[in-house]
Amino acid sequence: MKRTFASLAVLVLAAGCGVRPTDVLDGGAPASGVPEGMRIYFASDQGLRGVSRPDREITDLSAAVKLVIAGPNEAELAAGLTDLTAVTGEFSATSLGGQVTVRLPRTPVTGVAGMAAGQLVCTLSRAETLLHGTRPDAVRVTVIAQGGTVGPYQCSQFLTG
Amino acid sequence: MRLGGLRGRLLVAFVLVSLLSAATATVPAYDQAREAILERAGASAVQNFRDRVNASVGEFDVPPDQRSLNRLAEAIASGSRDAKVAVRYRALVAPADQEAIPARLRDRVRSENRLSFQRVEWNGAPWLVVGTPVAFAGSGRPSGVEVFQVISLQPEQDDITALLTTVRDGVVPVVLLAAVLALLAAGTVLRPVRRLAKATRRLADGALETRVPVKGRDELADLAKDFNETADALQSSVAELREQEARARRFVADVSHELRTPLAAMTMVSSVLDEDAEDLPPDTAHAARTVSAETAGLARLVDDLIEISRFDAHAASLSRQDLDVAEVLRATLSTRGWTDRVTAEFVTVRARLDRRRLDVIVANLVGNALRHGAPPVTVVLRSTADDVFVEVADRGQGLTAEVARHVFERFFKADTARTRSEGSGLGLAIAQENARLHGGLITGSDREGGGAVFTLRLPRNGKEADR
Repeated sequence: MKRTFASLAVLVLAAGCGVRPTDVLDGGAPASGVPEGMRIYFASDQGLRGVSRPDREITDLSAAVKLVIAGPNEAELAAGLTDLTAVTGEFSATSLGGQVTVRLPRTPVTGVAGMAAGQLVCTLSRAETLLHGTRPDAVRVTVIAQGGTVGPYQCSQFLTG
Repeated sequence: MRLGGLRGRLLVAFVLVSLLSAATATVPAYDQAREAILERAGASAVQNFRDRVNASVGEFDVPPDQRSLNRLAEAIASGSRDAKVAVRYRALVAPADQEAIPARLRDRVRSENRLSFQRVEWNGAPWLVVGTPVAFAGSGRPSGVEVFQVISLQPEQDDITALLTTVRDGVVPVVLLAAVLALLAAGTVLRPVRRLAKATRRLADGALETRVPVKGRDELADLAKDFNETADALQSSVAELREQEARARRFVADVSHELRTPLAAMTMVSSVLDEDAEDLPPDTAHAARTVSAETAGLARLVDDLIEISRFDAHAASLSRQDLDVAEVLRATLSTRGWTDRVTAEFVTVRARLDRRRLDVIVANLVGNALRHGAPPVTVVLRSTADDVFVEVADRGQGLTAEVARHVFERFFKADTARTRSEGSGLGLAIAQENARLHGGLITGSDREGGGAVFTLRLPRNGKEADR
């Protein structure tokens, strides 16, 4: 009789009730998809969009500006990306302690307003981070164009959640 | 209801068996169902989480700043049910409140490039915490970004509770049914057993004609049959014994009666011989006196036998009258010439008794004390509201326990060396019968300081003995 009781109790206890905590369990492969390497930014109807250029090794800031001027590739075009910058003539970019300055002496300031400015600011801030390891939120980009200065701006100011 | 009784035991056994079978049937099923629910919930939550993280990090720049980290957390959390998302990158954390995430999970995510999850109890509710490092898109290297999500398992818990409730609602009626069945089963067993028990008690009380009805063909019916056969056998042997006893008693009575007539003649002749013994030659005179004494003894024995036979035949009757007991006792002692040999202590008490029988009892007790005990012999009369007590004591050998047990039996001899007692051997038996007839009793025991004491108790109110 007692043994029966005991086994019954054991059975019920073994089943337990409700949701019991577990140990840490393995759930498979990790998430992935963080873009690596250089990213340049184009405009779309949903605001700024970054695209990867992982095959491009960036050696200086100007190369980043070049990538933007080159415009989106076919797949990106098909996805509705477009380059709003209207850079004409020569350009140069320098950085000092996270302060990036882009000079576009032949480009009217209207060519780098709004989202176009965002394109340059974000692309250059990414390049600055990759080149000099500056923290993204410490980078400030100033665009000096013909007839006006834009910035200094942080990239996050152009990225809307 | 006694729990130790048959009914209680059956009830407990039935309920236990039903509980056990219900448990063995439902517990594993419940267990599996629960595991399946949790498994599925966990798997889908993990899959969903990974998909949303993968979709959200496409625009994410590493290294991030606080704002972009906050944005990522919001992006992952949007559109997921009731979940808290936390994103870490080295020292950066978004949002700041992460106490639901267990440290072990955090360590595992940091140390291994695998998605991990853990069920935890937090704030009294069950949660599923999923954490994963995020790898770079191209190379698959860890980017240093870790995403955690805390998902409530309350809906699953509710489902499981509902399962348990269903199981319980199923078990309770089963157990109740088992209890009812147990009571029914116990009833079918207990009714015959009770009948048998009652019959046994009646049989023990002397109703030898008691029988139980035999129903069915089970073991209990066999038992009833055996009981009836036993009772039959008992009844017939008792009847036979009683028959034999009655025959024996009748025989004794008949013999005694038959002996009276020749004895009367012998007594007459021996008394004549006795009177003339002085004129006979010495040898003849001795023979004549012996014959006379033995004849007198034989006559006493026959009288006593007839007396005993009357008791046996229940033919003895009491004629009660209002007596002064002390006066009767004094008369008893003086007629037998014992007044000088006995110390008497009498109180004055009146009682409704049979004078002749009281005389017989006391004479027997005192005669015994004088014959077998040693002086001084004392006779004490005491009384209470209900009873009269007569104590006859001596300073002789006393009574051993063995003797005290048998002393009132017929022809019992305390001293086995003595083959012939001076009395008939029936005196104490007759005295006891007389006491019983009054509704009283004689008890014999050892007296303090040596000797025996016989105590006669007779009820004063004249209640008849139920014989």
